[in-house]
Amino acid sequence: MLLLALPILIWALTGSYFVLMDLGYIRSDHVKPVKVNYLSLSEFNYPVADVYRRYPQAETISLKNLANRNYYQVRIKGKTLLIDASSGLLVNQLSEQQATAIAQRLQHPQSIASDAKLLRVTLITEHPPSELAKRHLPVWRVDFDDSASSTVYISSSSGEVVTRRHDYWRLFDLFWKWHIMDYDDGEAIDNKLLLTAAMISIIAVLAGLFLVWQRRRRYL
Amino acid sequence: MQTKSVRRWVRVVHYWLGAIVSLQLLVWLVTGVYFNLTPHDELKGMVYNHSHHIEPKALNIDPERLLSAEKVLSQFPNNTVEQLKLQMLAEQPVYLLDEQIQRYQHDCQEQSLRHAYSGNLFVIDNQIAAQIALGSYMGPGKIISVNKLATASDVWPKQCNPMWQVNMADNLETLIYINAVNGQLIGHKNQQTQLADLMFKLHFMDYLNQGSFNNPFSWLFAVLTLLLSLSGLYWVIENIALKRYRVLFKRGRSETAG
Repeated sequence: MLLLALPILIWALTGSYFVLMDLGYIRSDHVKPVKVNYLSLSEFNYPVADVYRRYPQAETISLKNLANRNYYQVRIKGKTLLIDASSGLLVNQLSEQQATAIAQRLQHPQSIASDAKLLRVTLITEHPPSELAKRHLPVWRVDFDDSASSTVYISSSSGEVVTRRHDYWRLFDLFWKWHIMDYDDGEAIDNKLLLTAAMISIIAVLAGLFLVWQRRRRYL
Repeated sequence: MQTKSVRRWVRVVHYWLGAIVSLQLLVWLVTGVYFNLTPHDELKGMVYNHSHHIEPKALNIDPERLLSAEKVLSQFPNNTVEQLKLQMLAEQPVYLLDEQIQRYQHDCQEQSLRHAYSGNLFVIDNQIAAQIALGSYMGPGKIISVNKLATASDVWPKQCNPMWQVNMADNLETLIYINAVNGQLIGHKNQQTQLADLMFKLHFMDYLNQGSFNNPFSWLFAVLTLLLSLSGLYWVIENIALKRYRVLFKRGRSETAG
């Protein structure tokens, strides 16, 4: 029974972290660019119909503003192509400057501190870090030097912010692995170790309940 | 004298915390075992939902008739559109316009749908909703009824738009939910998810139905459970330091102290 002290303590500790830290803050859901880029009518000389004629296999065609330019994002067989809406040119790879500009729009008082500096901007084409899903590759990784070590990942093919991390989120991910006792990739909730530990813990709690009842006179 | 009173105090705290927390601890463990044993598809209402099994379909459009983006956007003279998306909905080409992309539950999506040829408002009526619902369904049943639900629903606490509920006649009593503003599939619910949702609610102590584990019940019980574990740990360390466990092995009894 003493061995159970470890998993129970870990569940209590990690569970407390999950509930006490606002998930919205962890996932940075409340953070939106301080100035939204609205679509302006001026800059798309290349019509949607032409994009469709060029990519008849497209599943969706979106029009949006990224770093002060209008682009089409063409969703096609699990990939997203980026097309300049004024020239119609295919953007093979977002430039470092463009990626930086997109990331810096997330720099404002409620998000990555405005005075945070860019630490580095790296292009990742293979071997993604564990916090980034492989399907997002290739991406620009933009690291800031704020107190939470914020990172923004921007797809170099679509210009989308595919995910982001800061240290409280990274701790959340680590604690999640501990909470479900999946020590390799932290994704399999149906593992045998968790089942065994939980089953024996149920017996332990029942034994504890029995003790509470048995020793009630001592504490009442 | 000082340490003795601390020890006594730790035991009293441990006893009372145990008395208070034990039932919720059992709830956490039993629901945890349930999550461990239940297939993911059953937890998430995916058993008859094949939206994750099929490839998305390509656009099917007559480019000659397609309304230009400028024409669609000119209907929004204040330049408030963040994104415009050409997509198929119930076999028809539509433009979906985002005026405010949802990033947090309280800042609701303001979207509108336009016919991609005429630019007229595209309304998700019960027939369109039924068609979208059937497109996501791979169960054996037929549609019994299609009902419009108001904004707030206990089933989807985070949804803030009105929705269509499509009722299927099958063994799981499947209900399919369609967002009545943008036509997106919200998800399937059935007998399996009824149980799963209850289990999530119990595990997250989400008794106010906020769809979140960040709630006052969780805060209180998390801290109490942490204190229970730590006071227990203190007691164990004390027992080891005072070599009480050796006594335990010799006598074969778990009576240590307290």
